Amino acid sequence: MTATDLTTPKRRRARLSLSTTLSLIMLGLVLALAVLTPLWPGFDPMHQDLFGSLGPAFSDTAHPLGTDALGRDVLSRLARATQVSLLIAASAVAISACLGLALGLLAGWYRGLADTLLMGLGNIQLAIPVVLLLIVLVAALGASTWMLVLLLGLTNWVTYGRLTRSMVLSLRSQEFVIAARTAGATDLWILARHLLPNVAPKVLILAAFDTGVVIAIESSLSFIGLGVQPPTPSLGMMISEGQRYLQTEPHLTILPAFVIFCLIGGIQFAGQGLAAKPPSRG
Amino acid sequence: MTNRILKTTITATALAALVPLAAQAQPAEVIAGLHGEPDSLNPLYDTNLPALNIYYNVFDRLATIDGNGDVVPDLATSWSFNDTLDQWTFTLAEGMTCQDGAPMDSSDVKFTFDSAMGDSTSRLGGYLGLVDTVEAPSPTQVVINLKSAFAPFDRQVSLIPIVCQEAYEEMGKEAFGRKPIGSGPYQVTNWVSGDSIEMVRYDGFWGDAAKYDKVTFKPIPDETTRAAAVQSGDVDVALLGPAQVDGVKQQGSVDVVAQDANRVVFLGFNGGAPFLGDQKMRKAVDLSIDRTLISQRLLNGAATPTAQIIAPVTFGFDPTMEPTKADVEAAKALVQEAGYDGTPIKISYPTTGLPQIDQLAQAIAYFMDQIGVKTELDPMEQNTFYGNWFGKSFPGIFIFAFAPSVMDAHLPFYMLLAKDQQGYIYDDRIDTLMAKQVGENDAEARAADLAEISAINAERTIYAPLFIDSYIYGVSKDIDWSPRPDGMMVFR
Amino acid sequence: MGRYLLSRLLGGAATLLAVLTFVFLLVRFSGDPVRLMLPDQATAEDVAAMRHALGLDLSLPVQYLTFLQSAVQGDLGISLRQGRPALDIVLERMPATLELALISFSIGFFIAVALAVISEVSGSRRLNTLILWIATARQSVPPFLFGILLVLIFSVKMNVLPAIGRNDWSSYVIPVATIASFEIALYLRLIGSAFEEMRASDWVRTARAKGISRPRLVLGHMLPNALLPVITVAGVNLGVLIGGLVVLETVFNWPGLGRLIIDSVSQRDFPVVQAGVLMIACAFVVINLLVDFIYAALDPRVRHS
Repeated sequence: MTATDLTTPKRRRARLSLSTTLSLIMLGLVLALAVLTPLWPGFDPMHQDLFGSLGPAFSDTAHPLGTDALGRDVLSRLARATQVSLLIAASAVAISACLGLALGLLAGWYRGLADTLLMGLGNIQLAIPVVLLLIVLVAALGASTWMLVLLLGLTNWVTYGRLTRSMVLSLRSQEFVIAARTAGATDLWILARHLLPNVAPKVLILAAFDTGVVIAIESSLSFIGLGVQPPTPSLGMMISEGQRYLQTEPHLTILPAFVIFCLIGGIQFAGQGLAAKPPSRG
Repeated sequence: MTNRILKTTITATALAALVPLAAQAQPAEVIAGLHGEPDSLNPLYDTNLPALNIYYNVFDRLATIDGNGDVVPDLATSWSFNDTLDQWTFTLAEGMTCQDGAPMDSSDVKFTFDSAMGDSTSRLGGYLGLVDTVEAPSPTQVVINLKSAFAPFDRQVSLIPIVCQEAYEEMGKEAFGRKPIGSGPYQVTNWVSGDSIEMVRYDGFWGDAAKYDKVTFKPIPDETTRAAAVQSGDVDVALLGPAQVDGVKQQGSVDVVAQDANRVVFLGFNGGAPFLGDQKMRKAVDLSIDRTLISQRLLNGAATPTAQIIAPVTFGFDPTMEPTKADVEAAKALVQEAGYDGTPIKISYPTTGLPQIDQLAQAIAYFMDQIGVKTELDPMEQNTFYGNWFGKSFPGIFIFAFAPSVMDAHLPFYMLLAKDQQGYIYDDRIDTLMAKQVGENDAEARAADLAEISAINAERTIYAPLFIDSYIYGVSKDIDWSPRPDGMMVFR
Repeated sequence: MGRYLLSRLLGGAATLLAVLTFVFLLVRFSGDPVRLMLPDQATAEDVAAMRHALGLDLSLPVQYLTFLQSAVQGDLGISLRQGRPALDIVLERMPATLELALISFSIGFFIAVALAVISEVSGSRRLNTLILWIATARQSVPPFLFGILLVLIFSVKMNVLPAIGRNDWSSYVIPVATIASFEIALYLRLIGSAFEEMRASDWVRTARAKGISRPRLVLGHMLPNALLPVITVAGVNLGVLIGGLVVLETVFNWPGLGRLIIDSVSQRDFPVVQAGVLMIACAFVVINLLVDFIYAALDPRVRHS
């Protein structure tokens, strides 16, 4: 009996707002860091000052969050790193989503050979570990940020492809699609006008979640030296530089880790807020 | 080790009761964290540093280099050379045995040299290019004839671990590489890939008995992991990164021991790249770098600024040369004189292998930026970097380090400065001096020749030496161990 | 059903062949191993002789066909660096990786199921939210960093657990805790949302109305239904996990396949890289085939098709 009580709309709204509030705070912090910090007059992520290296946090107004091993301002670097990480993740996710969407639409609509090929390609893709693929490619081609984006993008489309495909498979037998077909609409028209608008929202939600995942992957790659290369800072690179000083200057690791935490956590909590919405009927 | 809390408590109590004794009692076992894993333990094929650590404990050489950089007897009790420095005679001690019980004598020495020289794929053979023939006229005598004079040949033989012929021939090179047989104080008993290499004391060792019953090497490539492992007591000795030293000291569970290395970190210039062929430009780069600041602030004092591409422990070092002092104004003037037009200059460096190399590269880029020279960082995976080194294809400036195991200036000078070797900028005077020193049998005169080469390098800034490295270790308080300048972990 | 499984088997074989081909080409673009294998003073002739001895001077198609021919017979070549069969080297390291992935996955999965069941049985929204929040918070810290922090706390500061290696049970605690705790959130969410859907379904309402006790309903009826779709996701995820341990193996100095492959790529030891990636792909394919079989056995729709 208690369970039904607890799922009444009233209670649900209260929980929802808490998850969403938390998510808003976390994402707001990150956004403020990335957008507002560059307006601060002391903003300079590149300026080195070895005399003032490894300055502690919260003790110098010129460097509110202290300085790193090369005497660079941690707050500025954190802001730049957040921008870089977000840009990388967003670009990579955009590539994966577009690729997955395109392949999924084709496979789901035409089925047959296109479908078999897509599923097969997905299996091959998943069977080759992304990190190992990157290791080999970096050894071959050198590490550049754009290659990183491309690789992260090209290796992550399978989920999008499968999601799109399964949605198109169920859509293609629906009345409005059949109606359009019998009315003589071209495949392109149906894909663009009927299927895409129905598939896109779910793909966007998946993309939002994935942004957090890609940021985490980039940070892991940075740890083994395959992420963004200096002098450009990324959150992962700041962690991998900072963890050398973990025992004496933990803030150099904790701060970028906290930004990642807010980013991934913020997106997840937002998702939970959304998922908790009562399912819309009709 | 089922209950570590318990174990720690017991040890602590035991220590409290036995403080005066504990200082003397050596544990029977020691575990060392190694920075990489050997490919093979066959000295003829793997000559990389991780494998060398094992060889130092398992094999003997004719002569060896001690902790001060001096060449001292090992298998050979004495040696002599002819006036032309191209025939070397080594006298071996009697009654030495291999770990399988077979005698170790001059035939094993001849076998090792001949096998290495006879196989073009032997990395060891690469060290013996100047050897003509090896003779073993008696079990205690080895005569080595060289193709030309080579003054530091007694140092060169320290690179050649002597394998036991019978075991080698019986096992074949692959099997030998998994479980080698030498004549040293420890014998390899087990190798678990990726995890550990175990060796036990060889009781029949001809020299002073080994210190420990058992020595285990654990390959731990990651610096942070290595530091954690030594602090948690999983290993007894581990190389630390300069950044971790303060943390390890603070935590206090292990001793921190530092040793000046035989390794020098320096900048190289591709003289064929735009502007870098100009001595003024190279001088400007050299003057822009504040070595003291880098050593003190970035590398935590684990580096000593230097003016030479060889370390003080290396034969040929000139103690009178002063490292370049940063002078931004002078550097700027030189950049202007060189007519620099703002073209970015690439700084290539290996992403692993040197302490805090990524940060060092950024610091150098920053110093160069301060004198108006634009740079572009060009990080490379370590072996890609070596590929470029062998191919002489660095696009601009490169950060490199050289640590000659023989601790003699000949090898680095030959590789880095001699005509048509791995360098980019040559000087006839250096080639003349190189030819002279290699045939010089008076050590002092030879040292003077080598010092002159260092002076020419400084005059023309063919390379810009940065600093002498330090190897810093976390060492368990229970063991008494001293580091070596070549970074080898030896438990003899 | 037979045809379904046969097609899956063929698909798995095709996947492996494609992976093999891809990796073969990839490593060959990653650089020349020969110069790195020879001594510093080696001449150009030495390099050429070595290339010839290793068969690297043959044309790419010839190399590929030779490679395939022996691969089919279980021979994946000889390690360029160690001189031993690449497959032997890889198989030595494989158990460590499989074991870590399987133990962590099982524990993570089990905890997720247990937590989902507990919160569903209790019917408490608050408990449900709390559990989900903790799991989400954990998932928001990248595993490698979480691992480093655990090592710092439990090995370095408290000295109660080993920092490295794979010895007795205590050396498994930190690695397994790191991975398992990361996996919980995913399964918790999947099972949780399945429960939520079911809660609104007719049969659950009917069962409730009939007066079936909550624990019996959740454990006996809802859980089995919730697990079926989760199994497919879990299969793919476990496969990906096995290949994704590379970074954690570095952090914990775990003697697994991932570290071997990193080292081998760095040394351009082609046969070992090929064999290593192939074995990871094999693990992926086998796990997913097993999942297909289980699914086919459990799901009537597949069984009768």
